[in-house]
Amino acid sequence: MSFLHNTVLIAIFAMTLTTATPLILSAIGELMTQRAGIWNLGVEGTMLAAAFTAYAVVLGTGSLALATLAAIAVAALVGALTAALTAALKLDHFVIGLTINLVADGLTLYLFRSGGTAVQGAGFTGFKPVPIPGLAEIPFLGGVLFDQPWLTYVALLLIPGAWLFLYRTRFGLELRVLGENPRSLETRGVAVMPRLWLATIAGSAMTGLGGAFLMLALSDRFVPEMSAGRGWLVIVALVAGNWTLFGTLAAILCFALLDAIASFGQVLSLPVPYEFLLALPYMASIVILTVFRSRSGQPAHLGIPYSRK
Amino acid sequence: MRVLARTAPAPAWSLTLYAAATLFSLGVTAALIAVAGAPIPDSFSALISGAAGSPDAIVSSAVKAAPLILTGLATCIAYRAGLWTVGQEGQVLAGAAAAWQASLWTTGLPPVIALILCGLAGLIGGAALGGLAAWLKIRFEMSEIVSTMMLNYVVFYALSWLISGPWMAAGGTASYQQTSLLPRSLWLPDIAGIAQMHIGVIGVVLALIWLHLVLKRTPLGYEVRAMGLNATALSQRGTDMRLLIFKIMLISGAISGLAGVGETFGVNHRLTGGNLSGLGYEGIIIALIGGLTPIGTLLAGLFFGALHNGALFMNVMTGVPTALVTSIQGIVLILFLVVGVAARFRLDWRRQS
Repeated sequence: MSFLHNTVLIAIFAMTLTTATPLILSAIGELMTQRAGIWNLGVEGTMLAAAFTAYAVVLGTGSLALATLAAIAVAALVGALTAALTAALKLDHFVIGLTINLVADGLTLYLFRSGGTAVQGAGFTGFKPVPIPGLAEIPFLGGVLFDQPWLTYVALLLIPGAWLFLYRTRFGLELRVLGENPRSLETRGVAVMPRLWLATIAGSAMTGLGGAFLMLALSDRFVPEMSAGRGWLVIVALVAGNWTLFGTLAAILCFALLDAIASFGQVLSLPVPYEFLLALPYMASIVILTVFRSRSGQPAHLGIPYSRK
Repeated sequence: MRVLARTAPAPAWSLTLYAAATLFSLGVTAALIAVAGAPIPDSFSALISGAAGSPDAIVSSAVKAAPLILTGLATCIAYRAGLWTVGQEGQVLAGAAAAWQASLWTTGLPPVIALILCGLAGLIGGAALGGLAAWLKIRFEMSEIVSTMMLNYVVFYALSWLISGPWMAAGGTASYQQTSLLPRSLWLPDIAGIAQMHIGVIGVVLALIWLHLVLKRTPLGYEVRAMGLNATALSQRGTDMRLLIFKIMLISGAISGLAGVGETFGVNHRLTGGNLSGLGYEGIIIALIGGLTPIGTLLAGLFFGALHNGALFMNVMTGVPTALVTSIQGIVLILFLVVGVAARFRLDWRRQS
């Protein structure tokens, strides 16, 4: 690899981490939701709705913090809608997820076009990398890990946090049992419904944070359908990772690396069409799923409506 | 007040609920039009007259509905069997692309034969993609939801490469992501006596009748329905499930591919990704609104096809973005699903003892 200058490698790995950030945030949330038994397929639409909200708010107020909060709020609302339809009304999880994606797709496009020239093409200043003093100077690792937007640090810190929550707390245990055998919780006097709602809303809020990052750190303007399959990649990562935290993250880093290579396709002058590079994460997802086929970690009650009787 | 389960269906209550859902949809539509800053009454009247205000409008509404009905039918057969494919979107593109390639190979042949070969290529293109997802499901136990969604993106980028690369030589314009126009002889002719309605619409009617009969009257249709109700029981009865999954996905893919051919050869007269996008996903919603029956899909497809057509006119008249219809479709489906649940319950106003 001598022909590859070190700075290019650093840039690619740093880019991998940046592009992985929305996926990591969303995957942590979706993992909670699915481990609780709600088969939320509306990730794509939730992320898109959040990204659009972030865009509208940052244009309106100029505040990145407000934009992020608004994106989380809208995503949480989408999560509440999902919970109401799947957990409370016991409608088919697949149909609801798909419909939420389509509504989000249509509504964001509609509102974007309604906004006229004030919205279309307007730019903003987004999240910039925040080098951590001292650590950023470490050769190679510093450039990759410690020169990132602050939400990337948050995402990385949330990984051990999510692990501790899922596997070392009472709530995490209840959440996991919820997806396996909700009745056993009910018989022990633990209320199932509020936990289903919480798991769905919190999971969607995390996807909202991911959508905000996608908008405010990875893009400079809103583009219709800009989530571009990221929500589905999160779902694929969960399946490929057999619903474990670290398996899911491994799949996500793989997608993000391919994505980063695609962004550097021109610099690297790879002898393949640009579209091929763009399609790489999706092709890889299919290949990964043919290799990692274990479904032992799939919550037994995933996607099955729960009723007391 | 308590919510109690109904023991018998109550038509009046159901009717009330559906009326309420319809009113609510109209309210949401009006609110969205207001958000766009357009006058509500004028927009509504433009929407309606654009959709069905004249014989011409009705014809072009039907033409708009045609591909949606096809992707809806593709959805019907798969979802009735419990195969949750979302590959219709990519299969439309694959069908259109295969037919386009066939049109390049068949230059010099008599137009009728060339068109038939292009149509066949479209069927095969869509079916191949459906078959790939079936193979991934059978061989690797890969969920068809995930595989078809991923394949949609792969096909999208593949088409975008074909249009801007290999097919550029044939005179395409890369910046607009479209090929050059088809030779005039390969444009689907209009149905005799109806201007602006290409004969592909007849293909839609044939596909509709065929699928209706297949689902109702044939062993395959029985197996499709049985698989949706209880796949385990069907396989224990001795049905080869792998073959059945293959058949269903091939048929579903072929029907979607046909939608791509009709749009490319009958409407756009060139291959463009943009004009084909969304047909697959909207077909799914339409089939679900239509209760996954061919007749229901026809009605829902005609209704939303007309709205799509009306929205074009509304966009010209009052500037309301056409994406309005896509949003409303999904909202209507959610409302219908909620009403379906609510119809099974009743409210008891008496005080609890």
